[in-house]
Amino acid sequence: MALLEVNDLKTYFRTDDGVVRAVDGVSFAVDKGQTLGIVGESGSGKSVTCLTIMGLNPKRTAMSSGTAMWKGENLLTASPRRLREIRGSEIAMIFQDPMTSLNPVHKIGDQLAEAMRLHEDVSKKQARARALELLKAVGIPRPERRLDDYPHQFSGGMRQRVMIAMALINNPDLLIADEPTTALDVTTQAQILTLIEKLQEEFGSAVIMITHDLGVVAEIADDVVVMYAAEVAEKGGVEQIFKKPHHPYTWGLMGSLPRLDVDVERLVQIQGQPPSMLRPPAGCRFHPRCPYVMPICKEVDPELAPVSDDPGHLQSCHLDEETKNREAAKLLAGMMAEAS
Amino acid sequence: MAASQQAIRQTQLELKGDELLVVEDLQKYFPITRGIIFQKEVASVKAVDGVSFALHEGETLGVVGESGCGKSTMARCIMKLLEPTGGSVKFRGHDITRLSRAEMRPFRREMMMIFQDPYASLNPRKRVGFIVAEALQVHKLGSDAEIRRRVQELLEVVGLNPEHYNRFPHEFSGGQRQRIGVARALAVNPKLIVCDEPVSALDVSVQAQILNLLKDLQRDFGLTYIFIAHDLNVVRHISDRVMVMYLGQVSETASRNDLYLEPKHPYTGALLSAVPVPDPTVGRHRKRIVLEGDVPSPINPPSGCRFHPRCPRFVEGHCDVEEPALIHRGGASGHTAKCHYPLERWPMTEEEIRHRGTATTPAAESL
Repeated sequence: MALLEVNDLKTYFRTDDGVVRAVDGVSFAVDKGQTLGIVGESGSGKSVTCLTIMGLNPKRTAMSSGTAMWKGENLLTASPRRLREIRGSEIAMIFQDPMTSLNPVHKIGDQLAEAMRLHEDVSKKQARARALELLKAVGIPRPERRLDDYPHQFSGGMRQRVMIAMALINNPDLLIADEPTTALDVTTQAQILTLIEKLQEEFGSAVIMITHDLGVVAEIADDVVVMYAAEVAEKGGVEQIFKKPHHPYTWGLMGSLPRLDVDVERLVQIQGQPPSMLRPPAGCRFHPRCPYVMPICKEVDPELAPVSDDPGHLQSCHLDEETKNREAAKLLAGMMAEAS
Repeated sequence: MAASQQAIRQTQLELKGDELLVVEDLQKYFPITRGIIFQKEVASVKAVDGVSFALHEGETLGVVGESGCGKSTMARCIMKLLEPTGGSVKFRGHDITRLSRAEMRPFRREMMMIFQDPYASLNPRKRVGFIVAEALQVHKLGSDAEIRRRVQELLEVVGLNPEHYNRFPHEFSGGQRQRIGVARALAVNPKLIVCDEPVSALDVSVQAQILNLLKDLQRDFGLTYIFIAHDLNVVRHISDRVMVMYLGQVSETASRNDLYLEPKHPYTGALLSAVPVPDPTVGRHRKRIVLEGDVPSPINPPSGCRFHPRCPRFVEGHCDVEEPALIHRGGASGHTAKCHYPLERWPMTEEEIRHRGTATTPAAESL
C-alpha cells in the first residue's frame, strides 16, 4: 500500500464571480522513500492539491471531494483534531516564501522548539537540543548562537533552511515542499536540493516536490505529475516523462525552456494564456492553446489513459499514439542534435 | 588596474560596430549614517564597486549574479535613476554621469527600461493607452491623434490587441502586462533598453513568449539590450556577451559561448554547475558544486579576492591578500576573469577544482 494515495481529488472555491475549479479530479500515489514531482504553471492547481491534502483550505469557501488515503485513513474526512496531530509530525510542509512563513517576533530556536513540543511531550531543554541538532543538520553555521536570533537576522536561503529544519523536527514520513527554491538564487537552490536529498536518504521520508522548474524535477523526482488547468495532463516515471512525453502540453513546457546544453534560435512558445478556472474550456482544457487540436478535442474531455506499451505512464490526449511518438521523437531529436 | 582596463577595452573594441555605451569604474556607495540631527557617515554599502564595460550597438549584454551582487543598482546608475558615487557613464560618446535632470532629458529618449514585476511597474489607475503614451507626451512627439495611432501600432507590435487601448492593467495577465511594459519602453524609439529581470516573475510558457518577442524586436529595430537576470539559461539564450557579477564587481566577462563552455572563474563554474538540467539521465549523474554559505556583506567585503571565503580554489596568503585583476584569460579575445587561479578546463568536479596544480603560477595558467 502506498503511503499516500490521492484519488479523484476535487477542490472548488466559491467566489463572488462563481465557482472556481481549482483542482478537478487529480489522482496520484506516493510510496515510502519516493519523490513525486508535481509540475505546472501558476494557477494549475498544484499548491491547492497539497493544501487540500493537509486540510489547510479556508473552510467557508472551499469544497472538496474524493479521497486522500494516508496510511489507510482518509484525510479529507478526518477531524480537525486528528489533522492537527498529523500535520507537522507525520506530514510536514515547506512553503514557498521563506520571508513570510516565519513569525518575525519570535526567536528561531523558540519557533523550532514549539513545532516539536506541540506533538511530543518533551521538556523545553530537550526541544531546544533537538532544534540545535537540526539547525546543524541543515547547515547553519554556528547554530548554538543562531538559535536566539530573529528571522530578520537570517538571509533568504538560511530562512528556507530553518523552514526545512522545522518541517523535519518530528521526522515526518512525508515532506511536502511547495516551490522551496523558487525565491532563491541558483547557488542557494543547489544547497537546498542537496540538503533535501541528503535528509531523504538519512530519514527515508517521502517527498512531494511542487515546482514549475522542469530542471529541478528531472534531478530529484522518481515520479512526475504534469498538471494543466486543475487536471492531470500526464503522469509517469521521470524517465518516461522526459524521454517519451505524450502530451502536447508537456512538449510545450520542454520546448519553452531555455537550456544550458541546447542552442535554439527561437523557443517553442505555447500560444495564449492558461484558461480561467471559472469557465474552463469545453472538451480538452488545453485545446485553445494546442497546436495539434482536432474537432474532437473541442467536445470530448479526454480520459487519463495508459500509454499502450507502458501501463505506468498515463496521459490525457486524443491524439493517436503514432503521431505522439513521432512528435515526441522529433522534439527530443531536435534537442539532442543541437546538444551534441 | 588602469592598464588592465585598457586591455579589456582594446579586445572589446574588435568585437562589433560602434560603442553605444561605455561604463568606466562605476561606483555606487550607499551611506550608513548614525545620529538624528548630526548624521555622521559611519560606513557605506558598496553596492557597485568599480564596474567597467563597453556595449556595442545591436549587442545584448547579459548580466548575471546572485541577489545582492549589485546588478540592478548598476542598471539604475546607468539609467541615472541613481546618482553614481564615482566613475563615468558615456552614452554615444557623451559623458552623462554629471548631467542635470534637464540636460539628461534628450538622452532619456534613447535609453529605456523594462522592469521585473509587471504587477508593480504599471500604474493601476491609468489606462494602458495612457501608460504607453506617457513618454511620447513628455517628449512632445506628435499631436494627440498621432500619439494615439503610434500607441495602437505599438500594442500590435508587442502582440496585444490595439483595441485594448482603453483597458486598465488589472484586466491583463502577467505576460500581457509585461508586453505593455515592453511597448512602453519601445514608444520613443530608444537605442538602448535595460531589461531588469523582465521574465523572472513569469511562468515558463509565458517567459518563452516574452523572450521571443524581445529577440524579434531586436532584429526589427536594431535594439541594444542590457539584460539582467539570475537565470543562467535565460541569459544564455538571449545574450551575445555575458558579464558575471559578484559583490559589486565583475568577476568574469566573455562572449556567450566562451563563458558557458569554458568558464575561467570558479564562481562562474559553481553557478553553471548549480543550474538544474531538465534531463533525468544527465542531471542525476552530474555533480553540483555547492558553494558554502551566503554572499558576504557589501559593507565589509572580504579582503583580497572578494570570492575567497567561498572559493573551492582558495589559496591562503595569496587570494585573501592580493586582489586579482580582471585580465584576459583563456583563448578567445574579450574573455576576462578576475581570478589568480582560473579554471584550466570545463566541466570539472569539485574535487578536480580543489586539486589545482600548486606549482603552476597564475601567469602560466592563463595560457
